[in-house]
Amino acid sequence: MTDNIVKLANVLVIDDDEISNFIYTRVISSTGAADNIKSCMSGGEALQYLEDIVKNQPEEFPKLIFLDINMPVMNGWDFLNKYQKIVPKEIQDSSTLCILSSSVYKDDIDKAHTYPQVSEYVPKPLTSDSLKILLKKYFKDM
Amino acid sequence: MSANHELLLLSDLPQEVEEFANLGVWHYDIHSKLFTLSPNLYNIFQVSKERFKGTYEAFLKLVHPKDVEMVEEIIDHSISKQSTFTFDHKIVSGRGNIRHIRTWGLVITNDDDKAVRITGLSMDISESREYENALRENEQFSRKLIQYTPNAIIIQNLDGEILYANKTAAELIKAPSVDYLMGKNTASFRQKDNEAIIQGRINYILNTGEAAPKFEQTYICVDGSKKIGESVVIPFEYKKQDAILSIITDVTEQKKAIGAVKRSETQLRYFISNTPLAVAMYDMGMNYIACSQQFLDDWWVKDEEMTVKKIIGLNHYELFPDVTSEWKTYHQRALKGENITLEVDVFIKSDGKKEWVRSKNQPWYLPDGEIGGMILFTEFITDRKEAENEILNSRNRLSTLIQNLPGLVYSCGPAPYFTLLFVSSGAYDMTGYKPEDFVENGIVTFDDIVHPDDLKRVRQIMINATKKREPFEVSYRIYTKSGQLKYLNERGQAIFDAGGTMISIEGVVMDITQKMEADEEARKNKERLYAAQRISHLGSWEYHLPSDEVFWSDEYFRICGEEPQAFIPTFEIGASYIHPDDRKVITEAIQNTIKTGEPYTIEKRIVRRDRSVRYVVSHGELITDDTGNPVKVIGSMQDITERKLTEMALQESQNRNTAIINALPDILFITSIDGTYLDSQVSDPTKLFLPSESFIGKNVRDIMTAEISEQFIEKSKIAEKTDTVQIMDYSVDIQTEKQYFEARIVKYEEGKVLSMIRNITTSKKNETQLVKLTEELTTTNAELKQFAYITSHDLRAPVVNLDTLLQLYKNESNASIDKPMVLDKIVTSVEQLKSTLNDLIQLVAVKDDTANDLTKVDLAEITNRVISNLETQIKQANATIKSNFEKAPFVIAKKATTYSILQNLVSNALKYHGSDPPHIEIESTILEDYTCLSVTDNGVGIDLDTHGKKLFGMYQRFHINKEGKGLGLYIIKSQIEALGGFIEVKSEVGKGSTFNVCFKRNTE
Repeated sequence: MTDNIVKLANVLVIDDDEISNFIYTRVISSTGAADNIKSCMSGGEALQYLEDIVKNQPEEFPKLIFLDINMPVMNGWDFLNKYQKIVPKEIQDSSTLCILSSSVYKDDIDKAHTYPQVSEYVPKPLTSDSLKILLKKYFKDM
Repeated sequence: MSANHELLLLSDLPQEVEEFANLGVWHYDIHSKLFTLSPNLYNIFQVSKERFKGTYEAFLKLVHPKDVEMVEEIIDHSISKQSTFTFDHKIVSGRGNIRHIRTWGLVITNDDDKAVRITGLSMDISESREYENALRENEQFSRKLIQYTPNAIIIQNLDGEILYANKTAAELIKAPSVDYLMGKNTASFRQKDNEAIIQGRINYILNTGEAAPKFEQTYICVDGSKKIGESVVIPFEYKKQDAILSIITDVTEQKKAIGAVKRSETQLRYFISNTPLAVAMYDMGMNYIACSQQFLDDWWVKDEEMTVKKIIGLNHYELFPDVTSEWKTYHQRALKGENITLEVDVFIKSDGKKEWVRSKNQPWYLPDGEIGGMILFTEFITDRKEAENEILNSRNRLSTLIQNLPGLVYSCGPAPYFTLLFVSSGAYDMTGYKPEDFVENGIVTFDDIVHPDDLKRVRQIMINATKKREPFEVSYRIYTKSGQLKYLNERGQAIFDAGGTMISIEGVVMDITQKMEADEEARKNKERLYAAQRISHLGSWEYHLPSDEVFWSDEYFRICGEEPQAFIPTFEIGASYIHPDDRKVITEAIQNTIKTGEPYTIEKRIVRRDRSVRYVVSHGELITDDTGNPVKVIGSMQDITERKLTEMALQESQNRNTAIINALPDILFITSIDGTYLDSQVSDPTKLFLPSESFIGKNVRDIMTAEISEQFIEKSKIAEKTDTVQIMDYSVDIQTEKQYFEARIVKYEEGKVLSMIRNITTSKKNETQLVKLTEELTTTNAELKQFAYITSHDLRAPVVNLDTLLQLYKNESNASIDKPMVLDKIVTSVEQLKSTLNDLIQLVAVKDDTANDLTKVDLAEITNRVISNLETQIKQANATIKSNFEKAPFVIAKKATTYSILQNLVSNALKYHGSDPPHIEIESTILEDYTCLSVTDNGVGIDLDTHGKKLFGMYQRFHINKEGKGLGLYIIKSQIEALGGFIEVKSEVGKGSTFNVCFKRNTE
């Protein structure tokens, strides 16, 4: 199994819940899919981080981003609206953005699919199996 | 001694063997205190030959300080007893490491049996020692985990007998203690209906060795109550026997919360589906969320059966493909936030029936202020619309009738000018002038055409009659446009307003020229009289009493439908031409005239032989001789059939109009466009709240409020000018009750309007109620959505985390240092879950709370309690709190609620403090009907422009890096609203916030 796993340089997780961030980092690192896992506790922090990367080392832009919806001040939707503007289109296209939420509410899922940037709506929990399926689906050619 | 022997052999061990077994040999000379080590012991003790002094003392220095005493004691003891020994101890190696050492020793004696030497063998057991320690710690750790996990854990043998249970398991079953459960069978705590599945799960795990997935089942507690748990079972080995371990999560509260949500949703649906109004609620995609039975009754015409349940989730446009694009536009506008009311619209239903519809399209909102969909309310007003059309038709019929009456109908102003206001079209036939030539003295006045000899007399009669308020009748002559002389007969009556001022004279003028001319001729000449009789359909007769002879004039024969003098009439023949119903009256009248000499005038009917009926006026009088003896009765008979038929037609039409008007529920007013009441028509006088006479002649400004009158006059002017229907709604307080009216104003004639007033209080009340209901439903629905969101998101989040964390925990290698970290996260997640559940319970409690049992709550007392409860936080934040309740020391509320509100606000103020130490001011003031409790802080403040709308919504948070789940303000809002009060906030970012909680004062 491990043989098929791709290796991504940078993965970004955005969740205001510390425990969730801890879990993602552990799950992602356990599959060995990433060299570097960055976790941000708010949408604002994540935007700042991405903006710096775009400016200074666009080649380091995360190939995979996990985004939570329910966050204070700037929620997942607000983040997406700003993300569309800040990140150049070709960089957006080179990255796979997944909503990762514990909401199984149909409204949220439908809304997520209205954003072209969103590749997938992944219900929590993120498990190594669901992560492997995602990696296979989006990074087969790498 | 074999040990002796072994050690002696060991002392000669080659170094390779020592290294391989990681042990070494030492010798201790008791007398000289010399202590020698074999080469490998230098390695084990990690000391160099140069450093180790080779004495017993030097050896003791290597021993871990804690173990020195023990080592000395054992060695001394073995010397005195000359025994062998074995013990474990630690040494601090030359490099400072701690090594675990196991040492065997043997005392060597000389020939005198005196101990001279000890030979020992030391072995490094550090690695196995670490392993054992780790094992022990790990077991302890598992035990702790099992003890403290939020899940109930039960270990049972294959027969179901409980071998182990943790505290949570005892709590789940409500057992008095863990011991109580020991040895009991798990089957006695399970509901029996799932036995087969449970046995299947046990077989599955025993066969596969894998865990069986989550399964929800009902547990029966010791006290008989029930709980719902989710259990996972795994195969397990306990004290060397096969066992099964169950991990059970108590989801009872969660299920209850979900159940409550489902019930509320059902209630909402039930409510909408049973409302007597036609209402439907849609989501943004125009799919049905709910719909009333009335709505289906009104609109559903297809054969396929449809119910208020079945329709939910279906699409409106798919169900009603004939919805017009215009209506679709209204829906779209409502979905964008517009309120659209259509007073009158026409809709052809798919069964072809044309319906008049009144409808409302309005959006409903989610708590975050976004539109959630729309609500459609419809009312069929076809019946009302048809009644309105009926009035207009009736009006038209009436005016057609007037215009086509023979003769002339008029209406004119009072003396002295008698200005003509209205003249019917009969004027043209009668005078040669058109009606419009007369009106408002346009071209010709009546004075101009009346014969000068008659003018003064006519005016005098009219003035006299109107003064006495009596009807008048006058005959006079006119010259027509072409100069022809005509005789006219006029009947009229003056109309007065309530104040006794004459408004107009209304009357009918008939052309009697022919009759008058005939009369004049008759006076001259008998033949000409006969001719005149013919022209005026006036017959004459004579009845000679002594001879019993009867004479009829030619015209009498003609009225009876016979050729003149076709036979010799008799009294009996005469009677046979009279209508049977009239015969008795006429015979009696003639006999009475003969007896008393009084003349008679009677209307009667002649029935011709062809059965046609003529109406006649019969007149008779007695002629006596000089001595007074009756000689004959002479009489006349005028054919008035044409007039009679017209009169009857008029009467019938008037009756019909009156009937129509009486049948209408409306009050009709005729007013001038400046608002003066001219006439009223009301079927049920009790509907007028003032007697109708008191209106007439007055202005609407004298009766209604300025606002209503101005609107009414304005609408009257528009209606009159544009000839369109103007509608206005207004309300009047009648006997302390508000009554709503709808006025429909139409042009009546030049300068006048007709208003149809309808009392719409009942429908208005329904409408108000509906709007209120809709608001309530919208709120309820939004709250339900929030609840659903909480249960799906906020309860799910920590549970999902727990699940994954437990998985991580399981996968973590035993010795991993991350394991405690994972456990730490598990504890945090459990705390989150607990706290969310508590909030939820508090919210449900608020919703069920009523405003009963309110008392005077002493604000100072509550504040002291809050401050003492928050003492630690206040100290930590170095906060100062000032309070002042002089203006209003009490609120009417519940103690617990007031406490909870204040606690929440103060703890918010402490939590969201700025860079300065927090300063909080608590004050109470009286504001109209409310007592306001205000909490002001100098904290970070809230950006109200951005967050104001959502501030009191559920699950809203506005600050990063602060604890809080976004429920506090929502709970306060719910609590204060349950008490009939409200909460408001003023805030500036960086400066602070003031929260005003306003309690109702119950002033009565």
